[in-house]
Amino acid sequence: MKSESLTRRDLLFKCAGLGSLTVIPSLSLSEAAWAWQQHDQNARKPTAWDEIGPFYKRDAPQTSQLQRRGDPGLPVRVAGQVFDSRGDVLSGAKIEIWQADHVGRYDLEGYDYRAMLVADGEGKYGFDSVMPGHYPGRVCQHIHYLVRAPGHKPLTTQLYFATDPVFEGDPQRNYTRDPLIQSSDLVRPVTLVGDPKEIHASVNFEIVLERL
Amino acid sequence: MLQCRVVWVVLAGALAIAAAQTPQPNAETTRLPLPAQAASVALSASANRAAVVCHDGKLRVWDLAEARLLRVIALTNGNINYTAISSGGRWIFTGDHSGNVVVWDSDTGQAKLQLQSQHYPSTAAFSRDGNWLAIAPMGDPVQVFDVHAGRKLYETKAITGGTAAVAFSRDDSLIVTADADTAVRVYDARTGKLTAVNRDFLLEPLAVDFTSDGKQVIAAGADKVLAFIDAKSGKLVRRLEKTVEPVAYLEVSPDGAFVATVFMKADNLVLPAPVAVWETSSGLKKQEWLPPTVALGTSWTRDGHLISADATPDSLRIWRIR
Repeated sequence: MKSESLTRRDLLFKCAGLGSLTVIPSLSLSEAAWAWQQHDQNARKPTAWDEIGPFYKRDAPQTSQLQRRGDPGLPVRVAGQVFDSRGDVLSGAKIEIWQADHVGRYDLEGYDYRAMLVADGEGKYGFDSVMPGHYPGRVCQHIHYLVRAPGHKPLTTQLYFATDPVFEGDPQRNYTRDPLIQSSDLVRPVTLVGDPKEIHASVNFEIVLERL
Repeated sequence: MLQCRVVWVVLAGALAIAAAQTPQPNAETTRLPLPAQAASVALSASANRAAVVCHDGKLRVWDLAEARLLRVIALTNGNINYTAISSGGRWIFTGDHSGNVVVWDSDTGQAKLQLQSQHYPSTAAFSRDGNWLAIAPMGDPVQVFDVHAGRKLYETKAITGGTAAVAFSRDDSLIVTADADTAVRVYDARTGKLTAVNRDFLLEPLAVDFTSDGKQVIAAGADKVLAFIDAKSGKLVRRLEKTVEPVAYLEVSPDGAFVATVFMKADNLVLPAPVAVWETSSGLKKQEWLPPTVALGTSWTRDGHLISADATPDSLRIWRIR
């Protein structure tokens, strides 16, 4: 049997009619329905999970400058915003990142290419690094994330790059070549910016946490 | 290696006879022919059985004493992430990349327990008596099951990033986990209640086991150091010298006198890394062996030998290391 589906607006009016919902006097039912609708439109899909990997290191330094002067490799600037799944920005969210260097080596002795960031008042974060290299035993270039905010489920995930040769220009189709990639949403477009002498890559990676 | 360099035929013959009479350290003892390359291997502590998942999507159960194939089980998904076997060799755990988890009865070839996890398994271990199974799906809490009853007993509190390794104490009263948040945690195995935590690691611990008396935990991982931890308080008791590579697996010998460690090459995970044996009392490294290819499984036998398995495209080689 086909079920009759209610719109959010229909449901709101029905609940009000049945007495299971009370609207504050300063709002009409139509205004409340509109506000609810707007809130729904801001809703965001939680960022896909990915495994933490074997080389997480706690107590990383709070810095947005992972690339030191003279470090080889293609410079990359990663920026984004942290939201919750209702679309509210999460200022103060703590974002730990770690990655391999340009030839695919993790620093296990120190904190090279490891950092702790704190999202600003608009939930924004950003850091400068180098494009991580490939390494044997792992298919794609990636940057690890561990994101935490009070009242939200901690997220471990990984950022991938659409320019990775593994995807052959079609990450939507080829992202499963790395069995650890859980969603093509984690593969982000890369923009090359700057003049030819000082070119760098730019990537946007939005983070959405689920409420507890 | 030495035997390859010996040019005197007589001496080579003498060595061959001696080797035949007395198994040599680091000697290949058994070669199990396989129609497809082994992807995941678990060796039972009794060393009587090996569970071998191959790239053809089949689980093969071998009797190691007789190098005899006991059973072939077709898996629904050959993309196996983790394989474990109970000490007695009866129960075999397979967990695939889609989160399908099965406990097989190697005596009958039937599935005893089937589960669907949200995430694929990171690790799993049977209790020493084989009655319980602890499973850590990647990023999720450890879940403990009664194998015979086929039901979940409890799950531990969620740890960010999940658990990399889990082990039961010899008397099955405690469980220890090596967790992604870099802590080592000890639980009451009956209730799942947290009893001790150690936070001395900076990087993720990847391997854990109890000493034979259950009083201490030995843990190691990406910090490249073996740490002895008081199982009751969680306090660090001592550390051994720093190792060259991270430790991916460790197991204490049946008499508790030694601990075997399997390393991983941090810069190249597909290259073989050494297997080493440490004396627990002195902390001295007593032996180190580099397998020809990556060690897929390593286990102490009940009579105190250490065996390890590596794969060629058409066989599984079992090596006696100690």
